[in-house]
Amino acid sequence: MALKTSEGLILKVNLTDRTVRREGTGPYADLFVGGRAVGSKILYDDLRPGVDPLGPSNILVFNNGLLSGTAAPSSGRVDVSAKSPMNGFHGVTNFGGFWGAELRHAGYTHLALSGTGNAPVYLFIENDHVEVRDARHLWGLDTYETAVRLRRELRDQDVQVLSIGPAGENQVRFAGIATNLGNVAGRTGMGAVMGSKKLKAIAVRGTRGVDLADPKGFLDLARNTHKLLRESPAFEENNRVKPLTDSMFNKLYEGMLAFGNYEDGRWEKFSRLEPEKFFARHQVRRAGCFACPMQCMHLVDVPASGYGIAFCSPFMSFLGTVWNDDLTAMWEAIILANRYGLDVIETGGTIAFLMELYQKGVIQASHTDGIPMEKGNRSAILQMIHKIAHREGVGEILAQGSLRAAEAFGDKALDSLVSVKGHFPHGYQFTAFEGASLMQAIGGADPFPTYGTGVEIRLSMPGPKEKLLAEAKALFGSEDAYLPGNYSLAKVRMVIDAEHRSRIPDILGVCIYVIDGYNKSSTDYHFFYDRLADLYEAATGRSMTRQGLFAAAERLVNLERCLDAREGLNRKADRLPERFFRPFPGGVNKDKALNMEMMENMKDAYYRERGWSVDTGLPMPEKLQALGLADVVAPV
Amino acid sequence: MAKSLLIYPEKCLGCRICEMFCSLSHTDTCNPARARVNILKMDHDVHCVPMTCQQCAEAPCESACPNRAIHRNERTGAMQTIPSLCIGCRACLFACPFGGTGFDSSEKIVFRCDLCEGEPRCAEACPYGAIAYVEEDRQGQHKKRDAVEKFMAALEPLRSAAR
Repeated sequence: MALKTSEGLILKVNLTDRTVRREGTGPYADLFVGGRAVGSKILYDDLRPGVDPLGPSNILVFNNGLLSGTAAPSSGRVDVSAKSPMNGFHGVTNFGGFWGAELRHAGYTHLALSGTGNAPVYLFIENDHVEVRDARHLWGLDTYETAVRLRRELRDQDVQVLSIGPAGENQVRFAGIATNLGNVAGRTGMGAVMGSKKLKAIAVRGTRGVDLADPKGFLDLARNTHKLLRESPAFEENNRVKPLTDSMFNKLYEGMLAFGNYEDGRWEKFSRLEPEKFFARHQVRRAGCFACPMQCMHLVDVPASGYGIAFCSPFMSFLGTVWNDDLTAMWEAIILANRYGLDVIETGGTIAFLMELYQKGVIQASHTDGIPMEKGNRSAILQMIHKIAHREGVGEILAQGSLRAAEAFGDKALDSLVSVKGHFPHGYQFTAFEGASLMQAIGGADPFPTYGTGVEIRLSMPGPKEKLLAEAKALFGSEDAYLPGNYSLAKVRMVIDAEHRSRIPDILGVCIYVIDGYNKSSTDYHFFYDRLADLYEAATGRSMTRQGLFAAAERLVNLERCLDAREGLNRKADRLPERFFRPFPGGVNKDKALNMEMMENMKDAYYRERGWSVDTGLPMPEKLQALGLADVVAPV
Repeated sequence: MAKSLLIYPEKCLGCRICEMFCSLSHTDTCNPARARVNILKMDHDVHCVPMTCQQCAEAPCESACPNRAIHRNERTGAMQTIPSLCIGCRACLFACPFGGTGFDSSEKIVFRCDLCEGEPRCAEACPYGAIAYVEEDRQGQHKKRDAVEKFMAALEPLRSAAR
């Protein structure tokens, strides 16, 4: 099949009858542009409402954008989505590395998997050649072993492998999907969906490359964009001064991170950690994704635990979240979770939950197979990771997610449950940040709230404020948009803008972190989106503007809301844990907590601003009409 | 004095930006399979080594070519193939000890690094300085300076103690 520059190509594989179909994304392009938006539309069209997320009728979609696998900076990020086994709603998570670019080089922007392999299988894609193959010999291997074994077997070290570990095989509801280097697409249980389809791995090799509508124009734009990034303060901060993780440990922690099961805003031992020494001793190099100048991850090798790569979330999940102050033990836990293929945030959160229950006397060691869940108990942390991945003993309950586990442990356990739409929230001090909290209430596990609302955190700390406040006023009509401590309409508007900004990179196949990092240091808050529109235009020959990208992002938000509405989601699900409405005992924000009534009023304003019903929290038919979605999405 | 590419494998983070700019500027596509430079990842992708034509002084590709299609560009010093003379036999590819020659299956012709006519895109694009474009007679000096910088950094605690 000849590839067009103006559209992407969807590869649809039915694992049950092993049929393969190819469809251009052309029909989707005008409204949805590409990437995650096309993926969500595929789910809207092909996924029947009400199906079992762990049954053969669920559909797992990998989404590249039309910039994926090109010279555009950070063009190696992939979205993966399906109905989530955590909550039955739309599940989505994003991963990096080199697999997405390889899939694009093989010719595809999307891979949609339906059915089940019945017996263990893996999918092999080499350009036009697509084959479902026996994987009985791989079943039971961890994610590292699977990649090594497949590359050896295929006699090609350049094959990019995605795989699930024992956690995915055992359909642990928060299992993730891992790349060769062990970074995991963690959130929302996409690895469990893969496991339910008996799909062990997806091995991809592509040598067709990406053709571009205007290659000379694209080259110039890509050169300039890389240059801009490399000359930006964000690049300097990331690459030359200190690794990101340093800033997490040293600069931000006290006003930003939540410890344990959202129990405190401060933990003395955390401030005494010495991550610099750990990295000086064990970091092999920095690492990152395809075509990215930022390389924000750390490739670390610790004797006895082994090598792997990690960004900020795993560090927090196996340090502050589980009250562990031993960096070597943290690394052991990260590697174990990556090898088993578990979401670190959910795993750390589940262990933190057990630790609180144990401390309060709600559970005893007898509930956890004789393991005392004392806070920070290294051996308990590691054993729980193992038990969860293998659904062994108490792991059988925990593998169902903390919400179901709390139900199993009884009413008292439910009092300690911290959960947003069934997910353990991101590890931030939501008590002090209203915008981030609104984003968390609406979005659940996605998007990462601080990409949009990190300004609140920055403004709560020492440092220059004038530029940011002027920007807030210019863009949203009031400084309140960025300042923490209010529930203003300006803040609601800022949140909506942030939701759109964070989806544009997903639509194009680039990285939110890089774009957001650049915008932060730019004089024009939305500057980078012009660049992306230009790159898209040169790549596809379709005209595109910043406004066009924002319109597509708004359509995507509404489409995904309709997708969730079919599964029974409404305003009631946009609820935050009770704990966010109580102040932390310690930390710089200890006097602050969200106000329930104000938060509900803010949600009213959010729904109104979006054109959604204040009663149901769902898009009104007029809104869908205005977005051009009336014919493609059923009003709810 | 001719310049050539100087590779620092220890600085390479494996992002493959070089491959993208190389293939885009030479073939109008983003395709690592058609790039003149490739990053080889070793030991389960832990170590990364950019590999390209070494522009050998005694070039095996030149000797191997049965049709005298390969010769040195006097201005840039790059070994280049005259497309009209290339018969696509790939003898040069077999002869090259470094894999510096590739075969373009769409054009049925061999390719290798032409140093972008003296402005190599890969060196320009690499954010980490893993590929440099340096005068051949100063390459050793560049490597020395790099080694000394590392040495000085290692000595820093001792030097500040002495101060």
